[in-house]
Amino acid sequence: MERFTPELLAPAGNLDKLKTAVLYGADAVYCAGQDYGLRAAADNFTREELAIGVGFAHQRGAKVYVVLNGFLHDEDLLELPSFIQYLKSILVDAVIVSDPGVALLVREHGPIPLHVSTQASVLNLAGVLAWKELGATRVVLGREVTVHDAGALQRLSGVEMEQFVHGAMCMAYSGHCVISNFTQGRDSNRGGCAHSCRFSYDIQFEDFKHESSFFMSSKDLEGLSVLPRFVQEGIVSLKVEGRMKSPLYAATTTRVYRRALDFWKEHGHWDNAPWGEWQEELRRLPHRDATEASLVEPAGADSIFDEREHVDSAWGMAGVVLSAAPERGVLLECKQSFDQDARLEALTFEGETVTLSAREMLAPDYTALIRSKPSSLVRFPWTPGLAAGQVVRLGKTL
Amino acid sequence: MKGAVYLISIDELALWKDVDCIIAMKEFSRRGTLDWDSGCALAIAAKEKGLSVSFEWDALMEEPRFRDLTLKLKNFPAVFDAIRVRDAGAAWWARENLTCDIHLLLEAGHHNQMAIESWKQRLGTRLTRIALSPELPLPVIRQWRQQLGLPLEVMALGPLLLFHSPRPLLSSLASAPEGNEWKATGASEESPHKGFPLQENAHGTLMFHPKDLGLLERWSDMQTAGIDFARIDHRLQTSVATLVANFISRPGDETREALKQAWNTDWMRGYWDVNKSDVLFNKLKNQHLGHDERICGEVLEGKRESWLAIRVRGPGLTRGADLRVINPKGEERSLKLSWLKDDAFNSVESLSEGQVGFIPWSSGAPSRSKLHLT
Ligand code: SF4
Repeated sequence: MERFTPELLAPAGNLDKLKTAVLYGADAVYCAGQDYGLRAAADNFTREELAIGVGFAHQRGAKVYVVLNGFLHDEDLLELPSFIQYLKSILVDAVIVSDPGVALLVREHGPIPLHVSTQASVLNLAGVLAWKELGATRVVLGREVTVHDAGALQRLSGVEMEQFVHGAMCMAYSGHCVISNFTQGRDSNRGGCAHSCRFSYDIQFEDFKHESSFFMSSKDLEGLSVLPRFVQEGIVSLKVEGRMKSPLYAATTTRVYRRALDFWKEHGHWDNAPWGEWQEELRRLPHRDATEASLVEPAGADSIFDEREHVDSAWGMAGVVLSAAPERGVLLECKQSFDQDARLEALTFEGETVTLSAREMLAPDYTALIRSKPSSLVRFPWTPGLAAGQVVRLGKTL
Repeated sequence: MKGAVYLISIDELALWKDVDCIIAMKEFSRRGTLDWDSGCALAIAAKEKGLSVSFEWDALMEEPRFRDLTLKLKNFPAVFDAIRVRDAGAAWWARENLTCDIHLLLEAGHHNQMAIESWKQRLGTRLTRIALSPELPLPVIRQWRQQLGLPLEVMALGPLLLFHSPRPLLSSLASAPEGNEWKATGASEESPHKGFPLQENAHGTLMFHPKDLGLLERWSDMQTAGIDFARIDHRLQTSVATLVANFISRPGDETREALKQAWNTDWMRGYWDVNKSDVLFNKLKNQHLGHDERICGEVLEGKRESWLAIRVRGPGLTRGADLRVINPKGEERSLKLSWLKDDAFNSVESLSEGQVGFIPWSSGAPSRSKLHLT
């Protein structure tokens, strides 16, 4: 009998990131069309890109969930039925909603399996049952729910539970922050969050002042060490946050959590699991420290990230391999500039790293190249182990 | 239109006539001040005075606390005419376990009629009031009142909650972190506003707008729009209770100005006239790179006067095809594929979906420009 292993659900901010996540082993990805997802600044998918993305994922056995999780106004709903019908026609595997009005429309114009977004802040059994009544087959629980409680909610409700396992965190109960709405005219529940919780504040108490504090900024969630609990509780899906983040983030997080879940699948225990190696890999990404937040017990004051910038990371994104074959060499789409002394490492889908020699790089038309530019293409000689879709990282001089 | 106020103490009760009273207890309400016994006693006293009384349960709760507190609610005192709930789970639980009316606090989200319709369908006649989001402008509320056929409540005066976190964000900064409740104000150079009131209690940390929402100048507009209940939340300044009571019983310039003078915070109208975030929401959407079934590729890079590197999308590309290049600003140019090369720079007749290749250069086609078949 196949051992239960949670689904690994990765973010796909655009078609390229969808492909990256699927190629690195995500069981499912979530992405948004251009009008209804909650990340207005993300590039998001055109209808055609969604169809391509679904085809790409399905061919490789992965699922695609489409996010419709804004709190929409009446006029935003006008075109929604046709979009829902379109999603149905291209066989998306589920839609993720937070607005009961959108849920009604999905039921009417789908049906498509309905997942409830964390934005709806579902925290208790009654909340799960309320959404089950609206047709929900899965609930992405509020980030305040422990894994232990999530397991109980799943068993008692018969609804699948999904929990965030990794990524940046909203400090507020999701859907319950309108700072941007009323201070900057940007609707945080329709993708316009200005991240006011990351600002520095002077806090004036009655008797003293605490200057320059990032008291509302959360450390990033890192649920790697909690994986045994997720497995034990039978949580159906583990979600990585970060549709806005780079392909390096998508590749690294997917690869690490894939390896960890595969370890469990293969061994049925966690003895001798290389936790340190996995964690080190994750922490090579820019991050705001790490917290288990409320996965084990309610998050306390130690989950606050009282600093402005991300912790500096040893690696940045160099680019994505567009094509690689022994007879044609390697073509890389660069995301930032680097010169011939750069340390370049490709992340293979199997979890290895392969070094690329920047000294041998050429322009796409095979002319000499001293330094790459962002948004440019660069050629390298064929290097075994490389394949299209792999992410290449760039060692930083710290 | 009827006033709705929070009942804070027995002393204030004498002031209130013909208003709806809300009882907010510490365990169930985010800003509740009453314990169970004093809340119930106050409700009984108000009821004896002929006032209708509702029980506020607006705190969000994870399962363990939800389970514990609902045990207490199983003996819901009959004195309460209604329960006011925010959480979907609380609404569902109240429908299943209580017999009183349900007032839904839909102040976070629920900006479309379908959302309210879904609650109407599920709560049926038990749903007797909806407290609307302060982000809804008057014209929308007017229309909804006609179409929804449900009594509506708006906040006419009171602090505007901007943020609610379950985490303890103030106590760790406080000089004497012992205790149960902390108050402070926050100011940030990065925000256009200063002096955000902050509060931490057992429900987490709350942040409010520096100005209170104050719509009393629009009282008659509210009445004309058919709004049924206008809530005034004076809990942070109990000294003005008499002036609130005066205004509710005799709404007019004089009673309003007296209240405004005594209220210790400036007032603002928020989105009452127009929801300004709509404008930005439409701008935030990517206008130029939207749906187009004829999209066939995107530009990755260009070498001036030489080539464009592209990735093929959709149906694929054939040599000789006529294209439109649309850049991220929305500017369009025509382009004929007089030649076509693959990723290794070899001439080819066609490229298919997902392949990288090279086509003749076009001006004004930076990376992320889209190619469309004409
Ligand atoms: S400002 Fe912070 S807490 Fe508020 S919605 Fe944005 S990320 Fe969440």
